[in-house]
Amino acid sequence: MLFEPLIQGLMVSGPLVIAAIGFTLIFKLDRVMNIAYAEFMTIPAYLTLVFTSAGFDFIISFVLSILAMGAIAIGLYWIFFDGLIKRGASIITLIITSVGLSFVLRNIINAIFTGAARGIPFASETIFQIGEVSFTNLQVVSLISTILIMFGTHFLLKSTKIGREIRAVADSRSLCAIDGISAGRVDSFVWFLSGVYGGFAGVLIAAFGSLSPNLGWNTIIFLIAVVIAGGLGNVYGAMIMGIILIEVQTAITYFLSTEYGFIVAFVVLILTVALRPKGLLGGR
Amino acid sequence: MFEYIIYALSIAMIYAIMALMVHLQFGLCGVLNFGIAGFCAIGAYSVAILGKLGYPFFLGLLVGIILCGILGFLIGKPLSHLSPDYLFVVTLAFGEIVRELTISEEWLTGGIRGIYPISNPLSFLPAYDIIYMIILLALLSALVVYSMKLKTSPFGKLMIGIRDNPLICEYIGKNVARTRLTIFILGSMITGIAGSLYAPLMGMVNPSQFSPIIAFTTVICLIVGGKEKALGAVVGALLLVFGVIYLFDFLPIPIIQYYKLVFSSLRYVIFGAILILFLRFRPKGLLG
Repeated sequence: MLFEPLIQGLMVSGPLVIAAIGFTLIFKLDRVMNIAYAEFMTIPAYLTLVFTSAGFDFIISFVLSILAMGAIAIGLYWIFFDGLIKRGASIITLIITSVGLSFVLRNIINAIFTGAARGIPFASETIFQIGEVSFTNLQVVSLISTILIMFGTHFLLKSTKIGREIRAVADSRSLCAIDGISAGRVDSFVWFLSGVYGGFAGVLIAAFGSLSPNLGWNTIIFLIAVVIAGGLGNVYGAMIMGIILIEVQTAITYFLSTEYGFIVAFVVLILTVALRPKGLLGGR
Repeated sequence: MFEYIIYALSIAMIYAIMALMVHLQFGLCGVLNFGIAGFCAIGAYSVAILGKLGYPFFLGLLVGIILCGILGFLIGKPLSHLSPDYLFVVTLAFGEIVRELTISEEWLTGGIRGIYPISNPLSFLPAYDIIYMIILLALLSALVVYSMKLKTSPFGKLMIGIRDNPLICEYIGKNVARTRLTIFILGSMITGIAGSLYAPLMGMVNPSQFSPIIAFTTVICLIVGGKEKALGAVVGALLLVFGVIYLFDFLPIPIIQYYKLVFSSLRYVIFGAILILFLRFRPKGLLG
């Protein structure tokens, strides 16, 4: 039956949705399509590996790694992007910078850990079954945390002071400066949050599959499809499109072969852009 | 040693041709095609596959150009109406997908092992590698002259206008999307030619040759050389591809030979750093 893979698909679409939210938050605020976001997923996955092999518990290593990624993301923003944005650099300059950063970070990982695939030391076990479909603890954790993060982000953007400030800075930086909203604080907060989300997604992806320096780069293709097809800069579009894309892909790989996942993502992307240039829910 | 230098120079010229196309698309018109590795692979595999079936090199070249043109049209058409950053990320994805296909479609491409050997179309001549290099040099020079002419032509002026202010060009009745699409398709086709010429030089094709590193290196060559100058592409390619990649590998320093894998990673760390520094402090490149 197709029903079972679709349920499984819903379970594993979590990391992609979380990563898409993080990616979109940065775009919404700074107009940067941050290709280095790929490494926001890879780095914490490797950090988790380092912490667990240093003897920490998995959960503690996980939390430490994603917080560390948040801090790294703040640093990367201030070192590489703040100057360019203040100088009014073009959008393409920002993207190329992020691509350069992505290559730097990935190759540092490559030089330290080599290209070999590794496993995250996480014991995956089946915890319950509905009919023929069995669910592992990891899938359940992924699903629940995705839902929490989706609603949490919605609440954060709509109902908190920092959320209003994020939307205000995204609309007009200069107006915020006049109103006394510190754009720097908002930038740090958003890059931190987006680093944490990227880390969350990255460790989950590594736990579902395996860990290699290309983990993030392989995911970023799907991520691009999700955020553009969902409407660039639209957090809700990214959430919905993340689930739709994984389900379409699951259905198609069910009938064809798993190798066509990338192609499906790309065709969905080109079709949405051709038919509905602003994406599913409209962006920008 | 002499043969190696000829080989390295030929590779540098292939990169220079691709960087020149980035100059036309990005330096002049502001649309950055990051699917270079994809178009390059399509050109190279066309030559390799048709060559394996016994057809002449030029048929493969022609098929590659046509395929790149069609794909360029299909990708460029919907994206040329949008802000150029859409085109950038979609072509980035395209490059990766072509590589995934060359791995998965084993019946056509030989999968991860690729296709070999690919004989040089000039191999019946004496010293054919030097002649091949001279042909590459001739093609490159012709393209450089063409790019310079294009830049001062009305079409070139329009491209620069679109790069600097697409809205104004739209208001005065210019077709922004079509101009972007034209230069994008031209760039895709000539990148395909560069790929077709790359295959006999390597003597084989396989998916690992067409990783995003090709696109990355090409863009760095142009940014370092100077993105608004046609010669910038040539200078950048000679400096980075010939100078850094090939001569550096050849240096008889034991530590480099011993830690080859680590150094090949570190090289891209340095390249990335160079790219970021140039964008930040000298966005117009060496030739300015």
